[in-house]
Amino acid sequence: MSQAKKSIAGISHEERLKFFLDGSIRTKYVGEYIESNMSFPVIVSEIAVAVVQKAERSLMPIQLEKKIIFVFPHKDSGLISDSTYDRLQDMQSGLQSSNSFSQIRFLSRTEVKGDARTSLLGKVRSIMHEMEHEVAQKSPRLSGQWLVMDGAIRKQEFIGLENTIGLAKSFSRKPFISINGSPMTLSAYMRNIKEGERSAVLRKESPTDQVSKDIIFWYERIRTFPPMEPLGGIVKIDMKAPDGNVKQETVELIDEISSEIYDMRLPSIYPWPRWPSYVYPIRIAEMYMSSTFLGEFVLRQIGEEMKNEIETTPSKKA
Amino acid sequence: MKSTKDQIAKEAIGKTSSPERDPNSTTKFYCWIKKGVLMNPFDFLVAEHMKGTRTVGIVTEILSPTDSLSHLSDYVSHDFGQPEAEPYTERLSSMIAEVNVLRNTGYQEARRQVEIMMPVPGDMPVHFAEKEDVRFAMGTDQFIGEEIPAGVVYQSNGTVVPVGLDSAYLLGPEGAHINASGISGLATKTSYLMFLALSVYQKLSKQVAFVIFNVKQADLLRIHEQGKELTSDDRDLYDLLDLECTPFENVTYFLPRGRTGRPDSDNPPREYELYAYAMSDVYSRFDLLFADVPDPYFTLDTFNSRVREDWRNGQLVIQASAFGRRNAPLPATVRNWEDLRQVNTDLLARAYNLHSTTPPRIRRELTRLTASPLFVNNRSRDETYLGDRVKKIKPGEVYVIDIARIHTRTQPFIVGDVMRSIDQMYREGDSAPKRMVIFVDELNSFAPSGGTSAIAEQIVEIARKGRSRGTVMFGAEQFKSEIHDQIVGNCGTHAIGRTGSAEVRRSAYAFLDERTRNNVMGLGKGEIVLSAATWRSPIKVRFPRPAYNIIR
Repeated sequence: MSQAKKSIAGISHEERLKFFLDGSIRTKYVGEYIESNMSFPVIVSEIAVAVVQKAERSLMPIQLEKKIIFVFPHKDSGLISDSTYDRLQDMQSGLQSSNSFSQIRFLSRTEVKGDARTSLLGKVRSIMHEMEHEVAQKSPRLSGQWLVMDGAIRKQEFIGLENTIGLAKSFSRKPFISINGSPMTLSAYMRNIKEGERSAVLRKESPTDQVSKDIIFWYERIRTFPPMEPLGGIVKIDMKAPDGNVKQETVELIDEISSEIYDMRLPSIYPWPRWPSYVYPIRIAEMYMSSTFLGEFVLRQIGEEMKNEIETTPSKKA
Repeated sequence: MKSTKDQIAKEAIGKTSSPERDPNSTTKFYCWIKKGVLMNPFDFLVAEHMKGTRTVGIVTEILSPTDSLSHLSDYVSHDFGQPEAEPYTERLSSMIAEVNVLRNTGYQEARRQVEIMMPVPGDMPVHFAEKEDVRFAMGTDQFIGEEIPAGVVYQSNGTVVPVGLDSAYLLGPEGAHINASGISGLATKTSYLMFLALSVYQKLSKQVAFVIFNVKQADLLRIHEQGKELTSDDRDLYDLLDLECTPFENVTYFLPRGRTGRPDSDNPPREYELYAYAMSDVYSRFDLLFADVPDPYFTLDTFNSRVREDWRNGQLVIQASAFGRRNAPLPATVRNWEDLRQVNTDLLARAYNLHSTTPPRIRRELTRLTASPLFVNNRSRDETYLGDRVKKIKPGEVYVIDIARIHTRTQPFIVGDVMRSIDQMYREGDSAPKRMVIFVDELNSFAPSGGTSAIAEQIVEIARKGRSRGTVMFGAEQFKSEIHDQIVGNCGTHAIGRTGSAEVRRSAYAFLDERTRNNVMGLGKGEIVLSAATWRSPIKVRFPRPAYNIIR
């Protein structure tokens, strides 16, 4: 393990980071569907996943996947009647068989936790991650070309993607960093990391999940000016952990990737929110997706139509 | 089989864009342009529209937005103002063309062709206009009169299109007059008007007569000779415009009489007629002669009227009303300028009931204004009076009147006198040509803005009546703002060469939108922005050098 911070600005590097993937969700709450003494929230979500490719100095969108998703509670949740659930299943089959852009999904029994809306939104996010994985797998990468995913690597299936890193602008501030046995808070540790430097390459101690076991990560300060809060201008990078200890060649690779990410701080997207931690290609992927999203009114209308459909369509089983 | 060039021309070069902030409207649409496509203001574009129709427009502005929110964003993107900092990737940017709508092809509704005036929707394919599109946008299919070649449109994609003006709008009766303005030397306004005059001459020679004033050296004193500076490009342009690369024919030059009875002209042509003014020619036009003399109490006006009224049988008898009384001055008989200058001032005061200070002033002004050798006591047989001569002009004839070396105080008189004769000719007789083009350069000297002189009024009269009776002004000046409002207002067509920023913002250019005004400031030599009454937006044209010989 590389236990020292390191200056990475100016380290010469190959141009590896060629593909940039981001996913985005727009959700509208349509209202409550109330049936005798049961009810559940009706939400409609538009999910988009886009990949932008860097060619020379230009960026070009190359992939876009979109879906309209309706997520409903599990039939045993006590929120939905059997007849409504059956009707929705019929509709789900119909949409699937027609290969529709819209899909109906249900929470699994284990996904129902606390507030129904929170659970539904969590499911939507999980579907977006599925889509991200599918799109990432399909990205037309050549050997040596790396994929940068926006955000941390949270799912096991992403570990299986070759030459992929997760680049997070937001990250937990909770971890304690322990180097040579002396723990310190992340803020305290990063205080000593200057612009153009990366942290030590880290691994989660006593990981409780498989993903944490399989990744290494490090932080990098890409900006210090203008003066900002201690963790401003920092990105966190997740990468699939090599087997065994981190060898010198992996450290060199990490340094080069870090240097390339540092170079990517320009152009900046100032003054957009969180601009100090943004890399431009991810912003372009976001813009690309935004430009394809349906208008707010249209999305709400689609949701309303679904709600009306649930109310009026009789179940085949009935 | 279509050529590769044709295929490229048909290829979509972008799509219309109608965002919330800058939506397309009935008069304007926006489009983004594909990377690598070169485009310039005044290019014609075609956007596909509803019902399979197409809307032709002209580019007025090209914008280059990036996703940078402010200049500060760009400053930050260079590591807070480090010019050597090189962003790792290019910013998202595009070229956005702002296009003025000219015309929609329309669709067939029963027996009617219906033009769609609704805004072009967003995301519609956009192409460079082809020759037919440009000519359609210029309304060539709706011309009432003959097409008068007016220049060539050069598209940035290489398409070259000859365009013309409708004679019904240039020479009447639907509209009339053209005015050219722009910075001297750069704007090539005289060349343009002469090119257009040649176009009219070739296309309608049997209907149109030309009276041309030469105001600069020998510029227009060889218009019957073949041009010597013409390039092969010029000849190609003449071909393209379906014009002969030949000079004017049937030209008569009128040169001013100099001191020795020789022409007072630079480089006079071999054949010419001398013109001069005897008092008997212009006794009724003293208002033109005294046009620049202030006359707040109308005393000069009284004198002018009396001369006009009392002139009989080639002479003017000035006689005091108290004739016969003691000390009364003897009557005077005036036959020429000298006689008039010698009239006893007391006699003049008594005869015309003038204040005693007025006759000396009249004599002083008369001496000043008739000092030129143009004003002769008796015209010789070789000398002609322009006022009479111009009334005899026939269709197809070109009269060039040289006033280049005439003193600036006398030039307006000559122009005004000719104008009045033309006015008379059209009022009096049926022998007037159906159409007459009157070319006046430096128009601001003769009909200045706010001017109320007899000459200005005479020119305004021509401008006002020209449309219906066919007297058409081809006027040129550096600053349009310096000519009479009514001349600008009556002009159906305007040609504008390169013009300074202060000038182009004046109200005389109100017919140009802000974008076009900006573009006018950057026109090159030989480029003209042309605005016609029937077009929704001005266009830019180039034209060949005049086919006649220009003496340098």
